Amino acid sequence: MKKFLLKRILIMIPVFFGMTILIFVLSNLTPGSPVDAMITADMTPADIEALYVRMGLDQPLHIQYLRWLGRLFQGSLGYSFRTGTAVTGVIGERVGPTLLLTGTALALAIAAGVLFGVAAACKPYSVWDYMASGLSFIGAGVPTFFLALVFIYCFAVKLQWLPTGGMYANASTKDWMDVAKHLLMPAVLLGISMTGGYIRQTRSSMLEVMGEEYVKMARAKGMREKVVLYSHALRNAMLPVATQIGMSVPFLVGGAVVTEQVFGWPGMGSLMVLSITYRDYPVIMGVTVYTTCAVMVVNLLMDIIYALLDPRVRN
Amino acid sequence: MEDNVLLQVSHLRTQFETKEGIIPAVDDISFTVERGQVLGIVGESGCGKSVTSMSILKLIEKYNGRILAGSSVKLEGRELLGLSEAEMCNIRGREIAMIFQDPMTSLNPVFTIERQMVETIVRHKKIGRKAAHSTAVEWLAKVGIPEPEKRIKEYPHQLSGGMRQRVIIAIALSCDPKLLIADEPTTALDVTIQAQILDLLRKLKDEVNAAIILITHDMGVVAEMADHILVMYAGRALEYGTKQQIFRNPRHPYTKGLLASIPRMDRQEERLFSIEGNVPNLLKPVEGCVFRERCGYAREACGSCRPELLSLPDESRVSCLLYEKEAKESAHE
Amino acid sequence: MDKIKKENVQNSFWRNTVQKFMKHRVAMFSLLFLTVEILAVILLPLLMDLDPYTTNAGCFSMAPDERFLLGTDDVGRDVFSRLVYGGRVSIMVGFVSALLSAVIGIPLGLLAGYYGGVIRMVIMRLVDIFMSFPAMIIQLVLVTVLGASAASVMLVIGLLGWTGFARLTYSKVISVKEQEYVEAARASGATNLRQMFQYILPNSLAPLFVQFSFSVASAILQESGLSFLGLGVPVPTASWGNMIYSAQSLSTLVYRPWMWVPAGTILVATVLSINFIGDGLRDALDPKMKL
Repeated sequence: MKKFLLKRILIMIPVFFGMTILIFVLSNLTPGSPVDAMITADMTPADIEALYVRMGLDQPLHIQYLRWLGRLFQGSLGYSFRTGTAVTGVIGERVGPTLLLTGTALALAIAAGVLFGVAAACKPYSVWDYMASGLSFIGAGVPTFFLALVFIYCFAVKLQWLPTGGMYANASTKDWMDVAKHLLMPAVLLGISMTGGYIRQTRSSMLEVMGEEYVKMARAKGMREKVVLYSHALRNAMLPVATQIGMSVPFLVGGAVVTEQVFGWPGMGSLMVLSITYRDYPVIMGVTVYTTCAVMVVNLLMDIIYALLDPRVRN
Repeated sequence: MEDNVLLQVSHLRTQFETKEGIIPAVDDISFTVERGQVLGIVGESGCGKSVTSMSILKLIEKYNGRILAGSSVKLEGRELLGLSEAEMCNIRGREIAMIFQDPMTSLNPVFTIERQMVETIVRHKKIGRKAAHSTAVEWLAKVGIPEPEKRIKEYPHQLSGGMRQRVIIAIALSCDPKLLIADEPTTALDVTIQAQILDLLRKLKDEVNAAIILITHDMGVVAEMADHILVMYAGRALEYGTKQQIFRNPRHPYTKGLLASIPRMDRQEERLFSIEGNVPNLLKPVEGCVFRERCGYAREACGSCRPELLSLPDESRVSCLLYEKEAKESAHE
Repeated sequence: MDKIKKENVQNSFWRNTVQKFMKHRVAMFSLLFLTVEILAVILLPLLMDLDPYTTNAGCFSMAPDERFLLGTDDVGRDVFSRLVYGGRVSIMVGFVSALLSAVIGIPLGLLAGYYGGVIRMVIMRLVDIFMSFPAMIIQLVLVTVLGASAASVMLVIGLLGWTGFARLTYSKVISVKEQEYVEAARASGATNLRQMFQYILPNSLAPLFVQFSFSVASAILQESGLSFLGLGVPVPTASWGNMIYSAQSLSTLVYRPWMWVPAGTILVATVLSINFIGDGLRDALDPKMKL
């Protein structure tokens, strides 16, 4: 297990450098530089020049990259053009809502994916099977924002069961029931956009596993069908599903941007869109760095979960 | 005499419905297995041997097979085909256990040996996990696995093929079954390990006093192990008799061909004998004898009516028109 | 002689595939729908008098009538005309982006599979890097840097979609590489390029077609997503995504469904039918599947 983890982390290192280099290049392509916010009207060109030198912007690119990386590790990402406060602070207050939304959505998507996938595989042509394929087609073909509009129209406007957007009815009260009410629609929608792939993967790997010899053997041992399906078969069928889940996390982030925007959810996605309209480049790059790193960490977590599921990987 | 009969299969017919048509994989097979005896079922791959064993356990329905009405499988006089799924679950693994062909894929890769053994023992013997654990360790020792206490904690991929087959045998025998069905138990193994596994099976069979149905395509294996032999071809039984009868005095042209195609060390032959032709396509209903097209003795009559399984004077049975006369004489006596 | 035989095998493979595909009813219906739709968005502007740009004064947000088949949008433009012109843009973005992804991904996959070693390692690591990027975020940044336009949207979607092609080509190539006819070509002195493009690639094509169709569907979805955020194809140019964008205001959403429902519906129908075609193609190419 230790060896496996070490290997995964070693593989992550070039990926990490590759990603940060790409992001660094991107941030150099964006107009404006970190000093822009510090320039005041009464500065002479010489002062500005001195400021550039002080910020290290006269150094060759690779030195600048290493310094940028150093600052990144210290958690200093510059100052927002829009608010003038530190980027880390601006992003910090958005992390919680995004984690709440994406976490709930992912949990719902996995639960629905496994449930429907198993049902579809074990009971072909049943109601479950049809619901599963319906859900997976909606997930694959209907853009989240369009479905969101339809949902808002039905559940918020017509039926008035749920609020149209936001996170609280009253931000000062912090009532959890209220948050849950606001969370329900966006989380379900984001979940639907993710679950199609999980359903199809669970269904197909379940079908594959059910043809395996060890399933036949479990049956021949006299194990009850429930044990055969949910213990012997499902445990094995979950392996490719875990891989699929790991690979889908980047899309979860993308989906969150759209969902947060539609519902005015105060997370990093809507911050990203807001910052883009304000051309607030430090925040844009900050969100990019944070989300990419978060995806990497989640990928590592998924690797660990995979190893826990599959002893062949572990040893 | 009747008391000695453990398993009685009569007129077993199993078929698969596919998009191309109906495949009669097992077509009217009857045989008995006596207590403590070994029945060898021989035939080429695809002749319905495995379907027969899966039908006895009533597992074939999970693999899209259908056992036709009129079939009967009786264990100690109790009809199995009429039992519910829950009742069958108590038979499988407890009364009738099974060993599969490929040890590399028959154990669940994500569970430890311990879990796979203990779940079986707990399921059938109604004892606690601790007691089940010690039973499991005992069995691993009996099948010749060194350091069983340590090995039981391992996963299947950490064991070699031969070791895995030993584990599978241990699982199968751990609930003291009355009948063990071994489906090509040595085919996937190296030759040296094959012999070890056969020795082990023979030794343990006497210890737990179980009968064995040994399914194989290898005449050498049956010669070593079996008391009785059933020769199957294209889903039908062609010949049934004791080992001596089959090997010394094979009746059916197919059995003769099978025996002639065994390579022998004591004869120097230019080339191995092989039976000409191919197994018939079961999708098309076969009129008459299934072996007709490859048979050197085929006559016109072989194509018109299906030969019955004739009882011969020495109590062996054969499904071939060549022996009609002989069978009639024995019936007259 | 051998060559003729091989060509025959290839021909019968494709004929077989077409036959199997034709039996796939949903896929055939989707193909029909998509063909009609593409013909419609190309031909309708030539046959009818469509004007997606003029803001008709005094006709803001009008419900459908005889003059405006699907009503007008909030600045008085004809929704039906915009739907047709938007279709041109959305479908084109889908195909061009997918093509761009294929053009980047397939050669990289070929190289990685054919040469192995360091080349393989570098390319596959690059695939890892791109696959763990949250594509949407990077697309947003790139569009912001490049400026929003149909061209930059295609570029940005294409640039981030190549990993699927590369991985698929790679896995296909390493299995095809070992086949006898490639070894024969190698033995008879075919250059590396010739081996790759004349022998290996044609025999790896089948699954790439499937990947291409899914890529087109995904690119159309991504375009609509970017446009919906106001960062895709910029107005006044119409695209299905930016037509739905108007429904972000609650009053449009509730009281003026003609502005967003047609665009959303046609978008969903298009994406689904392309996915169905991909499914049909995959089943038809799968030798294990019998229909």
